[in-house]
Amino acid sequence: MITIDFEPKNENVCNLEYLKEMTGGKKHLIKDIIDMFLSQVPEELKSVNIAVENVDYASIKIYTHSMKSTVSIMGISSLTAILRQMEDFAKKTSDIDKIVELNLKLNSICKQAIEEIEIEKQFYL
Amino acid sequence: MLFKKKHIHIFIVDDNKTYLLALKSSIETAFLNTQITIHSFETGEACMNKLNIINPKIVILDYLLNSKISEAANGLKIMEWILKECPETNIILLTNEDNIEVAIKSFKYGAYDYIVKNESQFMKINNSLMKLFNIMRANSEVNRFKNVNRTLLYFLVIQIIAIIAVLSLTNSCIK
Repeated sequence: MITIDFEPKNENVCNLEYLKEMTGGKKHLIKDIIDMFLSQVPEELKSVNIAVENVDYASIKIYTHSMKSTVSIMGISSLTAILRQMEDFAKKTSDIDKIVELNLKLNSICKQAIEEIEIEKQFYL
Repeated sequence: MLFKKKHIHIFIVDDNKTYLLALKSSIETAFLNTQITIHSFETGEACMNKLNIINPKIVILDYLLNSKISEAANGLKIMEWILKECPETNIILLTNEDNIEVAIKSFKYGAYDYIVKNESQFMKINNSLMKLFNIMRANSEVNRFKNVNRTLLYFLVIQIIAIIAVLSLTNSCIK
């Protein structure tokens, strides 16, 4: 049973307070990390999507595991739970339907997160 | 100043580029007045290529390193290689889950610390580094005092030999 509820667009999915705290608010560091995030997330998402399409549990496990580190930096807590569930299902090599459903949410939240971060980036140019 | 600052090289090994950059920034921000240089690596194998050249005092090592290269060695294996080459290296192992088996193995293999990647991870890593820097500073002070004592002892022995020599000479002149 998938228990994660997510209503995108209602509120921000990212919380950059953690990023600001860890960098001491230094604009150039925040910008560098945001740039890295914006180039890495679409690649990771693509890898997860391909793995899900191919029902490749081993790859789903590896990529969702790696993505948890990426999204934690931007304070996207709603994604951590989704990625953990996807990873857990992949470890059990079962429930591909649930993984597909979670992957839709993953894509939707990532899209919103990228939009939010693109806007936030303007403050650090 | 009693403690002469030494440059500390730190390796970070993680296959996630965003995480590498964020952790590097966090450490550099937290230890602004400490002379550190951070070297980032995406695989343990790349880190091993630089180990003997740079000889880092500290290695922060992720446990799972196979998201880019599936056959990449895991953190425990890399730790084993590092400690075989440079037994003095302090290793902080990072994992995404609170895996008790990995934690036990890491300490058994000689890790200095084990940190779970969660909301407080960067604070915990910086606290762990702070403790390590204090230990390194204390060890450096102990070694410095040992050297000072050795030098003083050396001069004392020379003085005693000189006095004995003068006394012997005086004695032989009197005779």
